[in-house]
Amino acid sequence: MISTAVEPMPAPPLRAFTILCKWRYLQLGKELPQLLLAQVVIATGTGVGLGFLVSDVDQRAGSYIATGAFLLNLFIISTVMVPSVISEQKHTGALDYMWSLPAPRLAHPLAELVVWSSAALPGMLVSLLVMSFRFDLDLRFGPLLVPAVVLTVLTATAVGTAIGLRSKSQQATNLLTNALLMLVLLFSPVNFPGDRLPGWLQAIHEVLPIAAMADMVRGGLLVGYEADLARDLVTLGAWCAVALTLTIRSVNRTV
Amino acid sequence: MLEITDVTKEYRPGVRANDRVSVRVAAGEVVGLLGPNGAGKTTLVRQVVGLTKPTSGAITIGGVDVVRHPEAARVACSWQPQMQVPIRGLTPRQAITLTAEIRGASKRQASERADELIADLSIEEWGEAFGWVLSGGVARLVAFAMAAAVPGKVVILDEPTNDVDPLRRRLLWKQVRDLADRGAAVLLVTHNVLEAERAVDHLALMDGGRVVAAGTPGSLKPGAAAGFRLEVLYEPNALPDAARLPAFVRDPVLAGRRLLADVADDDLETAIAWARTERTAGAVEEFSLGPSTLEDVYVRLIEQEQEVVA
Repeated sequence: MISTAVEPMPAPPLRAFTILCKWRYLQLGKELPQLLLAQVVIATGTGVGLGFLVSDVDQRAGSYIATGAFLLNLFIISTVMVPSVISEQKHTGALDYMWSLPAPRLAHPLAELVVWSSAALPGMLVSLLVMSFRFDLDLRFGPLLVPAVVLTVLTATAVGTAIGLRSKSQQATNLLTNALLMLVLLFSPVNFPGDRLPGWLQAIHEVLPIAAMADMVRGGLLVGYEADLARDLVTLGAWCAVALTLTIRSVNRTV
Repeated sequence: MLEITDVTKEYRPGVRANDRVSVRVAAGEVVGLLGPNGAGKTTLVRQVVGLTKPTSGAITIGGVDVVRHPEAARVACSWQPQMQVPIRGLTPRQAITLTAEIRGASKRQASERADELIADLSIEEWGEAFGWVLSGGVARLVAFAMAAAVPGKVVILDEPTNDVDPLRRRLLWKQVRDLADRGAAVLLVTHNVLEAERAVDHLALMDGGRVVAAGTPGSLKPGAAAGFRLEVLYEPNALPDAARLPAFVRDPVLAGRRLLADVADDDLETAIAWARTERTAGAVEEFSLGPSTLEDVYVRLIEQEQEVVA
């Protein structure tokens, strides 16, 4: 029996966060096998499918496609799945309820990130394996992969969450985030080298975080690839800090 | 414990969802917030739990300003919202346990408390059922149990009995009382006037964003409608002329074959004699006379208020 209603002591933030993750895992429990399978198909399909776009894929092009697909899958989780769920929760009122519980508000989008990432992870690994055979690549899991993935998903989730919270409906969120994904897929040096882009777009990518994300991911995954680590960390670190600050403000804003 | 002082909320300039609302709920007390749809009750609650910010006014819980510190509101308040809670895919037991754990219970405490609430609300049959198969009433009871699992200093219940069957409503009211007896300040939002009358210590009646009356259920009654309430069901071929009703019939409302009116204390015997005569004459099928209920008071006050506004 919980006898005291006088001095409630809620779970500390980290424990509250793990309970929220458990809450979401239990909710998705029955759907999880389907999600895992879908992610394997998406992740592998993105890589193999992109290979058809380019004739005579050599090892260099293959390395861009394999690492680009990996990055795109991080984006699909952080800037498409998480915002879509957050937006749905916002517009059904579920988010109001969750935000009335004694946990930091940012814990909710982060719990979605954890749940959906874990659903996507097996697919991403299978995809890398398939592509290493398909394009005859020498892949590794270098230590650089850790900051690369962490900074990428935090930045992308922060941006995605802000879109999910600010847009007028879940449909609007999906439209915006898919448009963002298209821009990353087709107009960024993710699946191909940056020098194929027009000069002005290259200049823009000097400032945007996408090139830095791709460079760090390649540095983590490809044997023999040297990432421009100092530049990447400055650019991506700054974007991550700004995006998180704005998103924390956004989730804590009450009107 | 909960002090709402002069709270005004404008979603758009000039349109007041709450207009200088003041409500106080002491520890150990159940205060009912009554009012028609659109009266501003839910807007008020959303400000207390920190989801919306007042345009002006103050809200404190145990002396802490929760407008400036919404994170303190999340700790201090446990809230059963009017809408369904997001438990799709969870069982009632899981939902209650997880909420209790977030609110600070250990795994064992949370599990024991879930057992206790499931038994007390008599929903054992659905304890392990998944959220999407629960009926509306059972889902409401689960949402209540989530709010009561580890109650805050303030417990806010928004229409807790909606869709709940009569037997379990009684169990629910007992639990509400229990929360107050254990020291929580309970704010109960409802349209269900008759039930509220029995369950609450104090009432605040809201309309048009304002508190139009406040007090104990007893104190609200005599002032607004002393006396008795007469209900008459006429025979289909004997409908009365509203202009020619006896003089003791006050504020009559004719709806189809049914006449509803107030009768003063002094006119009680005259009224009974009149109704009997009418029934003997075959004009009246049945009639009843009883003390005015809070619902009569509620309807009258809201009507007066809306006439004033018009």
